[in-house]
Amino acid sequence: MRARITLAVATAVAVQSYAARAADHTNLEEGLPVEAADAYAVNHHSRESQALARYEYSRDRTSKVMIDPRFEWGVVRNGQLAVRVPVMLETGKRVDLGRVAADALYNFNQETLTVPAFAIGGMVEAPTGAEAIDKSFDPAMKLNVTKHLPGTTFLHALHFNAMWQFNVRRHAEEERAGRYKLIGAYSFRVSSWVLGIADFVREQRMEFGRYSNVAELGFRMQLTPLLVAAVGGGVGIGADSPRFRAALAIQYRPF
Amino acid sequence: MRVIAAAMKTRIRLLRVAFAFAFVLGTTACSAHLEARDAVASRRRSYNNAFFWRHNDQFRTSAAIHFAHAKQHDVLHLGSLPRARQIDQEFEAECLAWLNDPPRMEPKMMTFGPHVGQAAWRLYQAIDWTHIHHEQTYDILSDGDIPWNKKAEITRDAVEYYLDNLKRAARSPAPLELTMRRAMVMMKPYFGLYRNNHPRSATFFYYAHWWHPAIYEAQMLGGNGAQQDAIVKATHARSSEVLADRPQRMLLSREVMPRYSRLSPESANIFDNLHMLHGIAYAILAYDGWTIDEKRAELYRVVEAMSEHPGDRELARKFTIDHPDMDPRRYEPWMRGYEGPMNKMMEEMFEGMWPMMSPDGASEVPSEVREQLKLKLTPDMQPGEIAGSLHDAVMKLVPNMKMDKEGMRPGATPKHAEMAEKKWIEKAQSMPDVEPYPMNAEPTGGQ
Repeated sequence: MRARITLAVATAVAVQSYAARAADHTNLEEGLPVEAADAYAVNHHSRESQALARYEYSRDRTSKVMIDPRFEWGVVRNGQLAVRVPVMLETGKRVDLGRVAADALYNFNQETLTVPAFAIGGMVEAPTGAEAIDKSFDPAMKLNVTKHLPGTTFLHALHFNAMWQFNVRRHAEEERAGRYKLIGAYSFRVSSWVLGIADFVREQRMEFGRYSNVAELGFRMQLTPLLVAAVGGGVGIGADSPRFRAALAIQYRPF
Repeated sequence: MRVIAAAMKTRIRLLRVAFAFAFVLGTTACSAHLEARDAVASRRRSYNNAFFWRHNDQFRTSAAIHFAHAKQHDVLHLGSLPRARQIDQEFEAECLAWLNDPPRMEPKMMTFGPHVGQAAWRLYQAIDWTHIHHEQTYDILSDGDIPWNKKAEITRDAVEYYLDNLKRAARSPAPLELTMRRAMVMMKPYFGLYRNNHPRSATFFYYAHWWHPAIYEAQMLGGNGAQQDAIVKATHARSSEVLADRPQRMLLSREVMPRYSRLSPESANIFDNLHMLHGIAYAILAYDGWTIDEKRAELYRVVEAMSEHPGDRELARKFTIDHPDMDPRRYEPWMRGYEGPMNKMMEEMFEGMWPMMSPDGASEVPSEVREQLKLKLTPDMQPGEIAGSLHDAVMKLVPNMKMDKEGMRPGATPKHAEMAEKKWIEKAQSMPDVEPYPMNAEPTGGQ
């Protein structure tokens, strides 16, 4: 296991150093620092390095830290590919690999005064990490919608994200055939270099009857033309939701 | 059994959502003006952001200017013409405040002009893509690790990347004399309105279009060493003098950065074409006689007209330089007034159009019409100036003028544009090329 984590982290670090250019604080990225993303892909040819550290405190008083390095690449015009290799640290458990994932997003259109921007995506999570046994490659479909508010010079926008993830190797009596995740978000310009985002995330767990609701607030800050830093946090609502969580993230701007 | 039924229900729901999404996307695509974003990343090279680190005060000034450019779009379109004077005063005050306390980062157009960005995305893409080119060419001159004799080659590489990777957004490398003939905006109903009704904002941008090339020229004079920092600072320090007594015309690259214009005439022309696009876009947005859809049609026409056309690169050196030894640290009297290549170009274009417009086919522009043209090219309402666009003013003086009514419509190119373009290309072919700038010996700060 240690060797696998070392390999995964080394790969992530190698990718980061190769792509040491990047970022745009107004282009919302999933998890950086809140879960909402916008409907726009990174620029064609850009290679963006991202790293997220998220702390989560659950209702059963356990703490979980996720270190999530990612690499994102604008492979075609309006389309991006991303891979992520999360590492999990949890109270009372060994350091472990999370679910390694690859996802793609394709933006169809630039929004107009009346029509939002639409993007669809696909994602697959690999059966890696502590829960790998009995797990499968679980694919997911995504829809992202973004609309800025017209009639004002303020940069305010509404975002909607929907995801459906299939449960390929399910335990029929305990698990759903798939789960959804829905996010509604509002982003707002704070200053020329700071963007705020508030969102609400509702998602099913694969286990029957379990749901999570989290309200989040985050800020994305353009620190240099190369570097965006993000900070955010959220509170859970409901029995299966985390009590609270906090996130710190960096990303390098595309070049 | 219950579980299987639940799974089936879920899949049916999923299919319904997918069909609904496809239906919404299909119907909106049919009913609205939709376009792909097609954004491309800028060139990745070791020089990226050298300007940010080496000349941070100037980087931030550039960011403040680009804030003003971005917001001006929305201010003009969302504002009303009867309140134009007040809007102009308030906006200029905001621009000056940003200049005094500049932002730390370069904003994209959408950040401060989101309304027009949603209505006419391609305009913003052209501006942002060219601002990135601006930044990269500053970077190349700022990067002391690039030997002086390699600057031209690396700039050429940046220009080619800019031109080849986002053709619809890239500005033409040909001189403004050619692209203005292609755009042919003089008799459009918006021509002159921005200068008339928003003179403080218009002259703020005349300051900005002094500042940008003056900083390039300071870098050209300074070489790679410490003198570059000193000359850039000294040039930047002229800002308050220029703001207090602003140029009364758009200064061209060849005037304020003659050495750089010889080093990279393509880049110099690209900036002139961008700066003029700003002015035309503001005039279109300031005009309240068209809907936003009509404005977009006209904006996109101008964006296309001023983009690169086949053969433009071969024409890049077809201009002359009147002040080859100018010092950017001095704000010279010839920079301040109406007289200069920009307005000379506009007068020549008008003279070329006149035989097709005059009622009797006369080639000579009447003196009162010529006078109105000068007044319209001068910021603010001048004594004796007829209110409205240049078209309105000329029609008042020559009521039976032959007008190309079709060409005045939004998105339509006036019929004499093609002939004017052809004539200028013929003339340019007999012009000598402007000489390349010698980059074999690095300057040390003198002239």
